[in-house]
Amino acid sequence: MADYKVHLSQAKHNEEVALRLVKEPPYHDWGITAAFYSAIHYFEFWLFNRNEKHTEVSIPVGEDGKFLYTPHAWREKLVERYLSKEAFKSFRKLRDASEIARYLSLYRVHSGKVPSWLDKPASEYFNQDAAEKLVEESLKIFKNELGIKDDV
Amino acid sequence: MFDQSSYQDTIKTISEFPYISSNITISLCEEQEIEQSNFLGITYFSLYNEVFRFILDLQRVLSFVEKKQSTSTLNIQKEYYLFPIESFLEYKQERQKLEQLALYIIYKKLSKIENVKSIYVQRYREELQLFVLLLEDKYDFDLRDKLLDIEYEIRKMFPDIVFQFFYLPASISEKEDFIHPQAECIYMK
Repeated sequence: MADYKVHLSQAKHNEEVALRLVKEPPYHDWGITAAFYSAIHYFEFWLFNRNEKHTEVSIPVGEDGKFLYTPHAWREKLVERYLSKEAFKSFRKLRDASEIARYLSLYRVHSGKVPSWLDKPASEYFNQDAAEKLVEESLKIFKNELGIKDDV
Repeated sequence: MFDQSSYQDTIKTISEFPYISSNITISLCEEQEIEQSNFLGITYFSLYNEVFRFILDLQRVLSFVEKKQSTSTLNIQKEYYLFPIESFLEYKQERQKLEQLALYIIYKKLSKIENVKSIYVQRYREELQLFVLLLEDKYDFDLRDKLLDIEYEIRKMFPDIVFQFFYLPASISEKEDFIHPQAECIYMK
């Protein structure tokens, strides 16, 4: 866990990387992942001064002391609970696309078999326009909802 | 495929617990024989030399055992057990019903979308994970908008359930889905 100022600077750093990468095919797919990690840090910055303070310290635990939910699922629950539908959808698009861009499939559902959902690399599944739209539009909607301006 | 009866069976199994008559004498195991499973609140007890599974509050039972250490046979009052059993059972039953309903609505809504190939569900602790396999070979914004509109609606409909939805491209439709053995298919085109 980091202090909110560190979350903000990391969010901006990741966003800058995202904006550069989406304009540099064939590496534009990595721009999506950088944008998702920017969105996470912007959200943690926003959450810091609220009751939850940080996603990972607010996950409910069971009687065995273990988390009841994964951090990603709980963060999405907080996004859904506190933000608008448009902001929620933007955040989900970034997460969904960044997972596909990294794994091409979801390795977690496979058991001992070689995944073969996609017969092409992520840079072909996401054309550059799609990657730019995800980075520029979705991240912007999400940031606006959190009240974060570009000059912060 | 979505099969309502399979969920009903689960609920039935959970709700069928051994009947405990009032003032029953339970030959209680030694403390070290009381096992707690990984699952919250499920405890194994020896009852008339048979092992039954009860859902109850282990801490309360252990504290009771501690107080009665001098005796190996205890008269357990019905009231002592039934509150934790019933309240936990009620919670689990309600939870199961809620999840069953959520899965049914997910199936009804997502199966109407042409590009949805199949839907699997997997549980992680209290989290419901949905894997929605899509027939697409290029990222499709419009499709994501439709899917996320439905996802948002379902999340708002069931605020007590924590979901994770995964939308996965499955461009090679003739191939069989590779899926974790514990994942359950609720829809296949």
